Amino acid sequence: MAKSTKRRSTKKGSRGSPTRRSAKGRRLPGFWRWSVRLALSGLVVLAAYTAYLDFRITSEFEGKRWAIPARVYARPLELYNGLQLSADNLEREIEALDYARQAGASTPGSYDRRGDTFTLHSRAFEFWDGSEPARRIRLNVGGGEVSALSQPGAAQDPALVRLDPARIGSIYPAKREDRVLVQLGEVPPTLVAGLIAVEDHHFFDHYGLSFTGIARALVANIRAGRVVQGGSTLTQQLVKNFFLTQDRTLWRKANEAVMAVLLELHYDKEEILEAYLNEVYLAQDGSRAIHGFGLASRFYFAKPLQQLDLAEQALLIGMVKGPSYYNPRSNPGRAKDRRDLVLSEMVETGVIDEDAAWRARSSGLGVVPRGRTAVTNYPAFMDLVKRHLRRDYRYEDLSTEGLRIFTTFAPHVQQATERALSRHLERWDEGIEGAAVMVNVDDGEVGAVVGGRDPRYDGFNRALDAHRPIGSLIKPAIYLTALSRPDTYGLGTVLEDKPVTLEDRSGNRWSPRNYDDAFHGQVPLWEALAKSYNVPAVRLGLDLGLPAVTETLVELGGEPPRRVYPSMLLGALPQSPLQVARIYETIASGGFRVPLRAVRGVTTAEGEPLNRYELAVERAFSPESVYLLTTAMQRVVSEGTAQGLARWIPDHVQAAGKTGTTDDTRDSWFAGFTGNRLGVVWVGRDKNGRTGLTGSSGAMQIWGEAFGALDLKPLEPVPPEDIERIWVQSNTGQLAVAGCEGAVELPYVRGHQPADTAPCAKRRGALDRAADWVKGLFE
Amino acid sequence: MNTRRLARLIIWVMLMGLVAGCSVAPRDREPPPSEQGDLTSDPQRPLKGGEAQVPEVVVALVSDANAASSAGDHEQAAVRLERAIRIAPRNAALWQNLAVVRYRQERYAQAESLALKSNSLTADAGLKRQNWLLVAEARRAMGDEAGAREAEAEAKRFAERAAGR
Repeated sequence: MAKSTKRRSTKKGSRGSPTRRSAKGRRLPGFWRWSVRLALSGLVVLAAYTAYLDFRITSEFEGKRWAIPARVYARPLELYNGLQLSADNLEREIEALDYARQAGASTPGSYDRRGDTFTLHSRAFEFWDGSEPARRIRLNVGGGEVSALSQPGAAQDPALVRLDPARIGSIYPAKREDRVLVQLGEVPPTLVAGLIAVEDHHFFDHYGLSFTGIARALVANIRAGRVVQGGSTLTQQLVKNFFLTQDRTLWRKANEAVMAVLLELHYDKEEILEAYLNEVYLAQDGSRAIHGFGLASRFYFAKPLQQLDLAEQALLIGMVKGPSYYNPRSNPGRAKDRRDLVLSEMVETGVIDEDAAWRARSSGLGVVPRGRTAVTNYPAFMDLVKRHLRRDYRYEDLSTEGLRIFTTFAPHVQQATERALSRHLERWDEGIEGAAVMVNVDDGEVGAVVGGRDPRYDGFNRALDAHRPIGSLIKPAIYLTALSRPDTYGLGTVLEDKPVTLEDRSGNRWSPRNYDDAFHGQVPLWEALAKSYNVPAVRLGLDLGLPAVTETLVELGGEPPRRVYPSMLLGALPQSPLQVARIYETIASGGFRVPLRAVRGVTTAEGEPLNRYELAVERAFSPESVYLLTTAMQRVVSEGTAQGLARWIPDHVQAAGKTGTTDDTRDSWFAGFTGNRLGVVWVGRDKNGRTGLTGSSGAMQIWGEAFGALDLKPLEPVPPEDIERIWVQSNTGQLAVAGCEGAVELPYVRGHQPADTAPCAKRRGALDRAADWVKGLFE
Repeated sequence: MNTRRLARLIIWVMLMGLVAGCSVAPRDREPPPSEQGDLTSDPQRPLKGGEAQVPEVVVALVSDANAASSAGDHEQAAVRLERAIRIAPRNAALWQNLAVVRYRQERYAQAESLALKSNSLTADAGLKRQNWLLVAEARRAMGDEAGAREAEAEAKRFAERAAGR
């Protein structure tokens, strides 16, 4: 790749040619001989030195030029009649796609909205499995559902439209992680033309140096008596930026000039321009230098370079001259004058017309208050993507080969989750943190990850790295263990809620208590889970045996404890929100383990498939036991600790879930699912302090608000063949009939109904027989 | 014809034409001619796929998948079917089709799991019977003869149920 490497020269031996003293009184021929020798050796040294400079500049240039970061895409939105999607959520998706609002949506990458009717003009896109053309489509989203999907002008309306995917980030080389590399084609043409107009008028004509520029600068400098102007070309500036020092000696200038010429010999103008755009120093963020227009755009305007309007482009161009002097945050007046000057220059050189310049001049600076330099808006999700890919790819390849990465990221799901989390955390005490993971129930695709209170902060990713005790979120594992033994346990089995004392390993006695500090005597199994009673759960767990519960946990996809203690039954078991999602995913998908996936596939820059991460399932539990558990978990929401969800989630959704709270309200958890989505939320403090929040007053609130903003499918699992519904008396667990006092209807595994029949059912039975007998008399 | 032979025949026919057949419209459903007679004489018509119809929106995807799979490009078929499943994740016929693709790829463990997943999403006896037959064949291919027999017994149970209705 680097054509220069073979030209490694020796280190420069001397500085300049040593022509200090002329030999006085010597004979002419000798003098000439020596002069020729000197000149020759001077030439050799010069040539070697030039070769050395050539090596330095080309290796520097190549090293940067060849690093094309991987592009990371969200999942494409698929539109079809009947798709549940609110107008708001569609708008979120369009925002993520950076479509411009434009009357009529006549160009690709634009949209128009009138009430609930949207016109979208998608961009052409090369997918894994074929290409999608740019299409102009119209649809209605009234009533939260897509309808009247049409393609005006086409012979036939499409049944299914796949939009181009939103680009959510890039993976950069480790050393240059703080750079938003842009390619020339992506940079607004006005910015490029404006830059050339202002900084280097003759860029396309010169060979690295501009003598008119130098002459002009020289005149100005002589007049001022000091260096006020540097007639540098863009090429020279690029060289200077490669080896940035404060050194402004003539020697350095000369070196730069030589290297500029050398660069021009090796590369064409476009390549040099692209490198310049990514290299130029544009701002200072504390101790960190901001290089390149891509990052500067994020730093000053918090948006990608492609989205800058003319005024914003001109502001950035103006800052090349003096990033701190023209800093729009500290010197807004100066920055504005400079920007307007740039606009005038752009008019003069014909880049824009006076009208456009006038409009741009009248706009504000548009600079965001604090610099945000995260290279992605979704650092927590990107973190998951990188970890996923690191199993199969070397980091160098990911960051330099221009790979295209297709993820499962769902922009509007992420947005809803972020908003719910941030809104609640702001309301609670300072220092309370949170994290959330959202997953598709049936295929295990991760749609959203939030790693903390500030979702843009690229730091500690709590969704993946905060391993915290899960509290009562462990209980479904206990009850599933029981329900997998239908000959002994059913949903109506009565459990004892009476004091119990245990001994831990060091011999300390320990008595679990319920959250409400009361004992409830005899409670049916489903109610013990719905109300999250601790005592019956511990008793049941001990009856089943800790190894059996641990095995269930592992089968569900959880991380087993290193050593098993009874306290595990109350959730003294640290897991990350992502791990909890894995556990609950197995329940939500009907007892099938489904690997959680953040990446669908990877292609080369040219679109050639490299890896696909396919949908895979593995049955882990009998369908009957998971069906029963799901029923009980739906009761958590309908009449148990998660009743409060009714505020956001309509009854007919029949969501299932579980709250979790650990000692002294240090951790607040909620994990729950509907027919299509699973979400896990954790709330707590990084230093493990009290929050004053329970599972329902903390994490569940966030879950509810987030899910309330999403399209939800009712949770209506198909009852397995061997499931029948029977009536069971709550306080005795005996078989009952409809109408018996305290009887509830529950699903049971066929052939495993309670052995005892409640007295009222016996009476009923007798009455029915009597009625039959009477009927028989009359027939 | 004994049950075992019938089961084998059915599974064979299924594997030949299932991707299009069980699910989508009656169009490209053409089993090999030599089997036509047996198939039509079978009152249960396994390729009907019962009430589990594929939603209109993914019909084209499934038919592409069928074409790809018939041409031996099972990966493309899987890509299409996964896309269809994302759109209609609770449709048992789609999962069954993916199971068949995996079977054709000789990835029997996945074929079995996907067929069981398909079963968990439907109450349709005909579809369940097909799934159990597929499970039986997959288990047999993995050398689990006892498991295969169990699956066949399940299939029989649903065959009776389907006939009785």
